[in-house]
Amino acid sequence: MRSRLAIVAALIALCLTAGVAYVGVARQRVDDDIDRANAEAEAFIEDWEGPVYAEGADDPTGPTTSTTFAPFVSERLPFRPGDLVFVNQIPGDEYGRLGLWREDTRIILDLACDRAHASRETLVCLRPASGPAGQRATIEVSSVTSSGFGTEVFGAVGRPSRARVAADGQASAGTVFVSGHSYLDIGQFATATEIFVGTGDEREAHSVETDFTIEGEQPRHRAVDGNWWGVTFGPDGDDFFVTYGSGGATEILRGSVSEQRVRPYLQGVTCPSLSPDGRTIVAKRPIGGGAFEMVAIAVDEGDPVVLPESRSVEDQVEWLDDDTILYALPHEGAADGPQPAMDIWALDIAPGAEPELFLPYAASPGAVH
Amino acid sequence: MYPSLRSIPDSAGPGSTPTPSPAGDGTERRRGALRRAATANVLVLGMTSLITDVSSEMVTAVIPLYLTTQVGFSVGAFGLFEGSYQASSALLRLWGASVADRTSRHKEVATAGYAVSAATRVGLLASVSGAVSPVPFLLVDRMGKGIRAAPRDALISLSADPAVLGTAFGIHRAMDTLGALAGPLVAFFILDLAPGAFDAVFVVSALAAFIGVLVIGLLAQPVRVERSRSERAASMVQQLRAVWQIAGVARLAVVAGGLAVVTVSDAFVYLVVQRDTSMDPRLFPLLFAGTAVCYLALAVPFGRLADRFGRRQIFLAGHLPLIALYTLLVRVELTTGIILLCLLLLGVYWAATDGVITALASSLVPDRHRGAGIAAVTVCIAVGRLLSSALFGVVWSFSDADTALTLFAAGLAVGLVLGARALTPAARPSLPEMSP
Repeated sequence: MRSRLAIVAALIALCLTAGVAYVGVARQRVDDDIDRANAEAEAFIEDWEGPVYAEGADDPTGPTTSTTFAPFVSERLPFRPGDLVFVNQIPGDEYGRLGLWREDTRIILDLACDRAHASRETLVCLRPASGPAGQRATIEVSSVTSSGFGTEVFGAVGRPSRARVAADGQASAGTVFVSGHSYLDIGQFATATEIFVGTGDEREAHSVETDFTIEGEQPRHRAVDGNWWGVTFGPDGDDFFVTYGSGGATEILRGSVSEQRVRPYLQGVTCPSLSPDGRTIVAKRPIGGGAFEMVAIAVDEGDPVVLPESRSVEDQVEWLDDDTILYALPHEGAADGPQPAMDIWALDIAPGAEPELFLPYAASPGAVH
Repeated sequence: MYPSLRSIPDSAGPGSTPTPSPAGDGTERRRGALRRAATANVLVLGMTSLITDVSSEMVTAVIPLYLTTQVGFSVGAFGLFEGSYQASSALLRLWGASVADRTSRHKEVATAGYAVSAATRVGLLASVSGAVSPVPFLLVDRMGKGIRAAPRDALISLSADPAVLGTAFGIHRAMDTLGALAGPLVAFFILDLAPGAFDAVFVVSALAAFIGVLVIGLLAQPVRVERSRSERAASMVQQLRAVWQIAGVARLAVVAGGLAVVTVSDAFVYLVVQRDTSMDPRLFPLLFAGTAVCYLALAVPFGRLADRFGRRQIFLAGHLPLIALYTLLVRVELTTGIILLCLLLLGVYWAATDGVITALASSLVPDRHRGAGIAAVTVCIAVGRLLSSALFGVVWSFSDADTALTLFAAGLAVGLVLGARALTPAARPSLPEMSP
């Protein structure tokens, strides 16, 4: 028996060593992957007809990791019209940090976000917080105003999905995908959308699902599998559009933040985004196989016009100005791995225009108007 | 190492005299119950379960992540798959238990079950490359689990003094739960070191599973039970029928299964807590861990209580915390303190019932039918749990959670009264002494 114990102990020691060794190798492999992806990204950005991407760097073609960090986002406030916030996706140490595109310069800020959006005074940053054992478990909404930087934790278990803040910064919205947990066996697509009203200490959260009245409410609006997501605000910060889906069908509803009510607006489309002048909506329409096409609709009139982007856009569309939309697409060849990368593309909604690469290795565009 | 024929005692009541101890040495009797229960086999089997649970819970913890990010499988669909498989594995469990009994090779059958599960870890590793789906391997893993459960429990029951079976199973369940707690921690530790490297998680899981097989294969002592020639030649159906007809077995199986039907699954309880509170969702995974910690801490104490005061009594009484729990969930505002209390109540339930019911089933059947006896009861419980989940889900979707909880609480109360009556000694004739 004792010799058996010795054999087992020896084999256990062997297995432990093997395990530790393998994990070490895997770690090295991950690091190498990231380094290689970083090098590719730098090369790509250098070739891309874009300008300097490091503020204050002496050598504009130098490594992105020498970008200047703004230690406090509030130092960059108020944002200016023409600014674009985004999530930086150049692989490496700055992956996943909030970026500010200003005067053709990529400024990387010391804040990690999964999704971001901004107005002049307010920044919404959806970020997962580490739960026990490293699991993503909460959504933090950081709101930055010129009077200071505050973070509120709004609860949901899941991955951040959408963030929007109204132009006047008074209202903002966040959607999370509530993903199931292994023990719970709930794996259906489920979302929670909150509209946050007010700023700073007076910020209140209202769940679209429970706190808003639906005019012309139908039974489908209370279906068990119903989900709300993808809020977009009008220029007055009170008018907004939101998507509702149930049983595979989606529709857009239009509503008022102050009156806490919504009413059905358009069937069969999802994820609306309203232009800064409030005259055009771009939304997505499913074309089967989980893919979408984008359509432009003149608010209060007009039929949907299909836009010339053949690739399927997953995220919510953003407006750079009254005529141009921005959206993120996976970067070819860098869409997988520990630090998957997307690019932001721009498209003029006038007929005959072609999509153009706007900002590589970036996602979640949020334009300040 | 251990006499193969023993008298079968009633489940221990107060003041019962311990039967001859394993080594036949009088000094053993003077050792405390804990030490008598913690025999080499019990500890070895506990260790195997611990290590194997680390291996499987590691993978379970990352599976949703892995399935949804790498393989594109929905968690719900997998849950459905696994749930429906649990029920159909009843046959497999009975088969494994029966083979182990008739051949008196409990250790070998249990080891085979562990080995099957360990082999699937290799398959999981292969699925990392995307060439094969991980799902069939996960299902075969469950098959291995089904095959080994009853023979392993039978071996535990044959490896400790019958008077301390509750304690022995308590020790095993505690070690088992410890492994289940450690598993996800190990997995996320690895993913923290090497993000996205699911292959590393699966490799470590495979190594751990292999160690588990080593431990039971090399360190567990088989216990040979004498069977008559006709018993050795019996078919599975014949043996199961014989076991079912043993006094008290069918009754216990039906009572345990019936109570399982009116027990709300842990998952649903946590769902109710999550939806009803503004609790920081960061703490959500801790709900599972909290219950497990309480179970871990209370498994041995309640096992001892069961040995001392009666396993029937403790088993039945163990359901009372559930009634309290459901009542709390319906009527009381869920503060952090109340939630912790809920986890404690769940932990008490598990500690007072899981190992205890196995000890109880063990004490009803002679050595040579031990595996099948345990399997008969545990399979009924498994079926009951499946029905419970379906029922709770249906009631909740047609009305609300509060109605469902109230219904189940009432059902439990009724079930306990009926169960207590069904299991009293007057209703269950005492078993004859076995003759050599």
